[in-house]
Amino acid sequence: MIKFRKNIWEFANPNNFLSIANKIIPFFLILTIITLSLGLVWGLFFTPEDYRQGSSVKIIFIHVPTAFLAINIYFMMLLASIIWLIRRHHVSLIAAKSAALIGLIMTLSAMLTGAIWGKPIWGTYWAWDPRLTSFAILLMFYLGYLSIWQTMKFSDKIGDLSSWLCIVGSIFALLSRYAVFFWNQGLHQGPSLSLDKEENIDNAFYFPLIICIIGFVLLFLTLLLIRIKTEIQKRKINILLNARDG
Amino acid sequence: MNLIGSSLSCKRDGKLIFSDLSFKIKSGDVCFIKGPNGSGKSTLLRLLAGFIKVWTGKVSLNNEDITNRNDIIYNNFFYIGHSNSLKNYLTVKQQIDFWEGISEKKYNFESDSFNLKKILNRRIYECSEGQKRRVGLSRLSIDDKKVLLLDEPTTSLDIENVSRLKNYLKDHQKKGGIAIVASHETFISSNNQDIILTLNPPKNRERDPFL
Amino acid sequence: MKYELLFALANKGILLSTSFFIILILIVGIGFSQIGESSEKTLLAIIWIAISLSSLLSIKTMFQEDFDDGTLDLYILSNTSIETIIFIKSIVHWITTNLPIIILIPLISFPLGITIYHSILICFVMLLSTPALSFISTIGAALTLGEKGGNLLISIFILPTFLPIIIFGMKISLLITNSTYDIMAHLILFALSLICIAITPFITSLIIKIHYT
Repeated sequence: MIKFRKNIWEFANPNNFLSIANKIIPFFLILTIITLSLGLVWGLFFTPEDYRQGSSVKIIFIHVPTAFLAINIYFMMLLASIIWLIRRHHVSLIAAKSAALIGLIMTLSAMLTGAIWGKPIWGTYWAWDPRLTSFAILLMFYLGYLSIWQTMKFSDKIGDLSSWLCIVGSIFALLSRYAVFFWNQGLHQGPSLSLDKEENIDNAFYFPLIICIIGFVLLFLTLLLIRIKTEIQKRKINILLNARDG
Repeated sequence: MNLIGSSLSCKRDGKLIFSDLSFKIKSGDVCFIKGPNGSGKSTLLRLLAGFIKVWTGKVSLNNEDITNRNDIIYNNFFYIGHSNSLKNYLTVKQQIDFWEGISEKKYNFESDSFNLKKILNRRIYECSEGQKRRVGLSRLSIDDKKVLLLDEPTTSLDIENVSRLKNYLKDHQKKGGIAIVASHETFISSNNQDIILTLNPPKNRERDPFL
Repeated sequence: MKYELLFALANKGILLSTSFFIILILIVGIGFSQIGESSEKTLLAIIWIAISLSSLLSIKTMFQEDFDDGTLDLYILSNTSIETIIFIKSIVHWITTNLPIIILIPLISFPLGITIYHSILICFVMLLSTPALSFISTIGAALTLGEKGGNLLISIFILPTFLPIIIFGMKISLLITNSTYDIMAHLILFALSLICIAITPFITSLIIKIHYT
């Protein structure tokens, strides 16, 4: 047990992290390409058309994974921020910082694909439905988190501030979400995937969708690793420049 | 009363400001901190005042470990920084009232160590820099603590008022207090008891985790 | 402690926030009159948005002045805890910015078509909920401490966090104008604002302490 803990915190050393990341990034990249292309090709070309929604249902293979990631990346940022505040590992802070932009893009693409899907089905691109509104709320908190990094220079202090912002943000994002759900239920269908089988979508969609989600998660991890790597290298360059200038 | 620091070091934003600093100050001593700009004079004072956490080492007062013990620090230490903590729109009298409210003690107008009687009804923004500094220093005699931490107290004071400050510090010495002053000049000269503490930039810089 | 802060803060800003509020309401009112679509509903929304914007107005100076002139050092070193000071400051901020506006609301909403009885009820809802807005905005003020031009940043951080209160506030005031009263919603709103009031001073003091390490 002790050995395991020691091992896991060794990733927190930027140099160890960098050498490991260098080794696994190509592996992740290949895996991402395989799963994503498998899932998307299966999903887009080899699934039947829905009898009500026609072929527009196939956007589900992008919409659901991006939405799934948009929410979970925020949780990941929250976790990384808390780890930074407690254990002060720089990699954790950098991970939170790098994940934010990916999360923002995932949120935007979930909203965009949702809008494209919504037009033929609901007859509107956007409605103030609780689920859609909570994505709008999520978007606001991503923007707030990114703007603190945008305006201030990287330092431990800003790391603390941004971590607190992330924690406060997640509390209020949750509160707003429940405030929205308190008043109405909305037109969005229930969750596409859940643990009890009865509510789930048809098997023909189920497996390609799972593969797509795994593919998108792998895509996120690859992008995250690359972003963390560049961020660490940026900091190294800064330190070397400072050392040269005295 | 004695104040002992042993192998203190302080880190700010991942950088080591000073390291392996040791000193020993007895009651009745005035200690001057010297060193070039950026050597951590203010940081040392703020560390003793309890703003900044000690990275390694120990501070002890009367042989009691007070490292990061803010409750004891509050009761014994008194800090005046670069800024005078003045509100522009108050009069000098109101400002002193305000401080009296915070520390629950009174400014002694009878001895009036900082010659404020004449400017009591002036607004702070009408005061000159030297007058502002005097008002700022008057907090010394409102709150009378054992250990004084002064950061560049003579800035923009004229000779007369520097001598007032000296007299105040001498009184404080006689009462058995300690004063630690960061200053470029030792303004209580011809006194062998004064301790001079020189800060040098740390030689062995710690490795940055990113390097 | 309280009286010092009161007289310290009395020197600025009461008129500022109320005039900002009135101007905002009038401008939006005039704008809507050009489209010809002014109704009770839009007015309610505008009142809530205006009140949340004006509570952000003077928030930047709350800690910034004390931070710059060193009074905050003094507070930290004094026997009073920072949490208490933040609490007092937030209450003073609420009294100087939101309270005058709430008193104004019946005067403004009466000519614009909301009955006095309803507008007094809405004022009551605001009395319950707006203190929380002042308390939450202290978090923003603490986050941008020492940052030049932090006002924009504060609005980016803080406006989204107003959402739960604004959602409930607007919905309840809409129900009130329809003469329906949802006691449950009132209670939830009150609970929300009490939770914010109870928790934010601690978070804010933690954030302020970051600036001192």
